[in-house]
Amino acid sequence: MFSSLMPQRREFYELLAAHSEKVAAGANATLRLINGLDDGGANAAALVAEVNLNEKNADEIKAKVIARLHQSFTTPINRDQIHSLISHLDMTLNVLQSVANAIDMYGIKQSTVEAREMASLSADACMRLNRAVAALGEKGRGAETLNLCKEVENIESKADKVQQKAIAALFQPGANVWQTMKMREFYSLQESVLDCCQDAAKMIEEILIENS
Amino acid sequence: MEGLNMSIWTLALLIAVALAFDFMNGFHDGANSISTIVATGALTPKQAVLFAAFFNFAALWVFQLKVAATIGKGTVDPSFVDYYVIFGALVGALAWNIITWYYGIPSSSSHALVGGLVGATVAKAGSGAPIVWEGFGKILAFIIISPLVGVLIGGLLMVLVAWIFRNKSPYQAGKWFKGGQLFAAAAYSLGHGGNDAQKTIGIIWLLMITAGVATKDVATLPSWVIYSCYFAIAWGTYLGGWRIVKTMGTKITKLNAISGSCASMGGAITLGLATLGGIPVSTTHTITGAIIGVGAATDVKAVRWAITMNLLVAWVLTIPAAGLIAAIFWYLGTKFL
Amino acid sequence: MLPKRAEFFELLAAHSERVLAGANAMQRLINSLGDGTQDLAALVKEVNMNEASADQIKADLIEMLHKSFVTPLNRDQVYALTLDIDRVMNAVQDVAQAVAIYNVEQATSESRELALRAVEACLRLSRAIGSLKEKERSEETVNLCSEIERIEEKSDLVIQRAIKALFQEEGDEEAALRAVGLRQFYALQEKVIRCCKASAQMIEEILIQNA
Repeated sequence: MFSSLMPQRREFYELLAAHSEKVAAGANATLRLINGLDDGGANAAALVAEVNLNEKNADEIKAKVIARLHQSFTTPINRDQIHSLISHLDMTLNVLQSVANAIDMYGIKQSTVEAREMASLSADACMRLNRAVAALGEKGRGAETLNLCKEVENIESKADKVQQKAIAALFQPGANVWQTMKMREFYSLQESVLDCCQDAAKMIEEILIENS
Repeated sequence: MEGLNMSIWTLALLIAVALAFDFMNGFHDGANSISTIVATGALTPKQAVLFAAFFNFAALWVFQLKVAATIGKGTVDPSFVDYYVIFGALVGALAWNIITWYYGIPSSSSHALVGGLVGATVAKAGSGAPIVWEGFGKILAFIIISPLVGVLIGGLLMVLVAWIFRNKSPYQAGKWFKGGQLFAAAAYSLGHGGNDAQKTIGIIWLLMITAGVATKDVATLPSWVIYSCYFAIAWGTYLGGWRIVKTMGTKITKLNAISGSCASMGGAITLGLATLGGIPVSTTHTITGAIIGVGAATDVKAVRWAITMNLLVAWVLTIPAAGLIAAIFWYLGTKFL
Repeated sequence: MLPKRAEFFELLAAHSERVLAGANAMQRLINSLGDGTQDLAALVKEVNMNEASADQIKADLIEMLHKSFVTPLNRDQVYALTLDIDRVMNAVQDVAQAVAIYNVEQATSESRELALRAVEACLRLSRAIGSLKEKERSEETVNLCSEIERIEEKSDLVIQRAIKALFQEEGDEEAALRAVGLRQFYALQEKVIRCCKASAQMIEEILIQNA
């Protein structure tokens, strides 16, 4: 009744959408990085730099959101929900950055089918997150957004299975110990990306449910 | 005519019951004005009840006795009223107040009183009861109008404040409201004292007209009646404030210093207008309306509609229930007094 | 029944002070690995003692949360923050105990640096909680929280460097064993700082909610 007369502060939606776009871009660069390893990884350094840049930009957006939260009388969704969502999104990108940097850290020279599959699943999940966050401010698109969140959760459980398969392959008799250790760590970082996506998706669901 | 036979002792007893009703009103409703200042920690509960009681009494110097006039001669025909009717009305209203107070339902003592008066009158006269429809109709209409006005003013105040402070966080904005909140609560307590003490003044006036010790002219009303009524409500507020604080401040919607100020101010303005216009309204309805208005502006989900519905049901019941109890006591009164 | 504002904050502050003391002992433990100057067992004991004391404070806090009618901050948030701080303490304890478990005989320079960062983060955490009770100091609190996040970012780089060094040369079985052990050890060290960051974000959230 009166709520439509209040200051709307839609910039929060815009900032959240901008942040999730950086996450999607980071996931995309990570995917290209992993896929490109087998072609000699000529672009690897540039792609890692791209992920790092996205992370840095996203950090700035997050800082802006938090500053704005301290300078706004009204917010379109609850303050703590905005904060939680941006934190989950930020965490996703941080882990993506860890994945990208892990390639040099572990000296990974070649990707595996599973690593590529995990990377493409996380790119999918981040893309859906981006679309869900972008639609968050539009009243009529609740069902669509909720659907996207469900898809993110499905992608996460799919990735779980891929990871199991990948780890099983690592521990076959006769495997190289060093290779196994490195890839084991690498896969769990990849899996964390999807866990973070799932957390973010759940947060979006919570927001939708509370504001529907 | 019983009225002419009324002994000085009966008169004194009924005035005492009326003052007890007035006291109960403060006991029952006084918390409304302070619930937000206590919930936000601006004052301790003890300070807050003292504060509210003071402004309840101070209303004495602010408002004319227009509401008293509406109750005293504008609801039922004074020439028809006898002390059984007044006895029934007061006891009915008191009983209903105690019931709702016990269950923590912020119902309206004003409507309980009016319901009691009309109920006892109808019990005495049957269907042709001499109800003054102009006054009673006005009261009935304002059952609906006063909370709506409260919603409107409370909501609009909140919108206004949100625009003024749009680039400040609620905490930063809240600093501006430390004084504002007390001001709003003071205004609200003035409105409460003004409107509600006058209802009892009206009843005692009616009683005195019936007993033949006063006439319809305000000048014939002794000033000690006015003072003691204002004192009784202030004392009631002082003693009973804490009980309903919880329902009003936390159950309907979460209030902070700012929304609390807007709600109190919305309630105060509505009450002030009604008191100036001589319309007895429910202070409870008014503040609840204002709280809902503020809640609707800040976050619709913040208004607990289920609890609001509970309140509405209690309000709809108030006039008939108090009327029924009043009728029973009128009957018992004629048998045993 | 009514708010015992000061007591809540005192307990929260005491809790985070134990964490800081524990982190301090943990750092001394790591720094003195291999030089034989310190009684390592005594340092582990010191960490454990702080953990036990922190546990007691946590229990008191939670009991108070259950008993109080009004809490100075949102009840859920105080609870969440208490758990977050407790996680830091447990992570610190895990590091101290891992020294023996993974048979870490010599601290790497990265380990020392991570321990230093952990203490820095815990120090800021305890200061942030100290300033939390005064709303006027919220800017200071926010700054401390973002400093913790910066520390976390910095320690990320340290870990990357550490792990890279660990896996660079694929040596014999003994080297592999050492790499696995240290990898776990670094992960535990990282976790301390991660938990500090989570606590910092919780504080940020509390400030925003009460803004």
